[in-house]
Amino acid sequence: MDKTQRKKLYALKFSGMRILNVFKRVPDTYAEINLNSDNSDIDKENLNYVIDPYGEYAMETSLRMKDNDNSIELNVLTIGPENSSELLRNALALGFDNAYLIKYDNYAKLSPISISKIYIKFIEKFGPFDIIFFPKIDIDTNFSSIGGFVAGYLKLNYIADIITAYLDSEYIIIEKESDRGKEKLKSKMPIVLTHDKAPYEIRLANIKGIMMAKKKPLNIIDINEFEIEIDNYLVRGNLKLPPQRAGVIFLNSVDELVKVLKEEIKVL
Amino acid sequence: MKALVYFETLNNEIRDVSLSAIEFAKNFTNEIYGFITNLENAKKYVKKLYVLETENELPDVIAKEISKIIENEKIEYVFFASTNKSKEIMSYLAGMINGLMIEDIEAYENNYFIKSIYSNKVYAQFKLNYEGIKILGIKPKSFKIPKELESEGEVIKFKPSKNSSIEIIEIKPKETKEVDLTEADIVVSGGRGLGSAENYHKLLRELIEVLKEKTNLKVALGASQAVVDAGWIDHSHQVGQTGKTVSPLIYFAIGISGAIQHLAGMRTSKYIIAINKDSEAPIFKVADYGLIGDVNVIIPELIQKLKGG
Repeated sequence: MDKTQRKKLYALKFSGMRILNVFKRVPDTYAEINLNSDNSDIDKENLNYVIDPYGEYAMETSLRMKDNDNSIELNVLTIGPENSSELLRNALALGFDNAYLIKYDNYAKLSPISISKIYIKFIEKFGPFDIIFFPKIDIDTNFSSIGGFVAGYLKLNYIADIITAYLDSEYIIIEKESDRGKEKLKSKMPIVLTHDKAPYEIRLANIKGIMMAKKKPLNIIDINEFEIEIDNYLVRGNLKLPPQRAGVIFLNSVDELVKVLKEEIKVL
Repeated sequence: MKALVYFETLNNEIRDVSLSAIEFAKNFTNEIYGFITNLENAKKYVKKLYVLETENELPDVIAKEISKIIENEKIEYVFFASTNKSKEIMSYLAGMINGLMIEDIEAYENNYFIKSIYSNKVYAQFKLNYEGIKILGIKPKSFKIPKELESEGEVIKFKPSKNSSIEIIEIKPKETKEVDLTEADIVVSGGRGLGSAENYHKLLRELIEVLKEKTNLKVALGASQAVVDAGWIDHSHQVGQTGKTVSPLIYFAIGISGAIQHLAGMRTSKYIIAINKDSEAPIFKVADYGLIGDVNVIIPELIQKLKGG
């Protein structure tokens, strides 16, 4: 390590930055999803809810920043029913300092504008934050516009689908894998980032973390405190499961497969 | 009523999925303008084409320029391809202009938009009641590519009014000009059953080459989560819940057992051909054709027979 690097690291130790990680409470990705009797919603019986996978990768990236600079304050936010606090407690056990739950049961049906504006209100009230992470896509609603909307609305720097990021004195270095190749970008903060899958594993909470989490603040905010008008700009109607497949025909040889490509699918 | 289509380019060509956004736009208006960076050839498809001359395409710069066109031209609808790059720009634009963005639209029926939710495990209808600007993204392979117009559109070239606040340090381009998974006609996907990274690359890339040659279709390389996690190939090739969703004409699942997260990303493919040594593998529940056996024997034989035939 040369002198300049050491100096940078020293500077980092006292950055006192504030990071916000937003995640979504979603059904376990292993779950089969079924519909309720009138097809108006998914069947929520027996579903196990987890932190969304992209939100989890973003949390790991934040924790790695704090590993290098313990003065960073890590905040975590989600919207959902009261029992979402179990997931937030888990984030505190991993090393987050403060957790916030915006209590709203019908969160999976909010329009992208409504949900973005709720987060914007939160940021205006509890910010400023130097880095704000969102999942690259909310895997329940399949909206991938939330992080970008928040950034565009608040006129903050913004990059989507990052695989990792790290600090370099007053800059943040961002890596992503796009259709164009491997990209490396540099920005000043504040910045909004949406996180894709990271090239590393996610840590698990240890006993010490779990014990410490019990003493950390978990704030529950009633959505009415925000005086947000829930819009009906985008109304979700009936749901449908993907069409059933016709069933498999087992072939006995490679010759039969070539014949299928020629005569049934007609691509050869 | 006026619409603007954002044409995404890759390797100096317009992406097919951006062109098919025009076809979708016709559901709303025939007054369709275009926005593109650097290339002029999109003028064959729109009445007016805005060409931004820029070296980089960072979201703040592009969204800013599109927002100015929206204001000047009184655009009500913006259409785009639901690729990562287009979504990055459109989501930022939505925040700037308070627009309502819906992406990954697969169909438009009786004034309802159809798109999947819960990572493609469920489809939902959506009704739009928004007076402001609507920003609508279509899913690759959902709409056809339109015919060229009889006369070319007017071209307006301009330069960005501001620099990005993001700096590009470097972009390492992909070694081969690969077809994007979501736009391929045939996806050749491999899993742990191939045994090693070496087999995965050697056998699948050879199969892709012979399929390209014999079918003249776009063929792309896919992977299961397990082999991406094992480091055989990078994440941009992963099919499934934490990867890409594909609906090609043919999906080859080679040595892939078919975990639910994988099935969510490929089960809307037209034909699914699964090759696996385990006849009980869940992949056969969604497959149309199955072949039971060792993929390291079957694939070389398939390559040989395709070459010969």
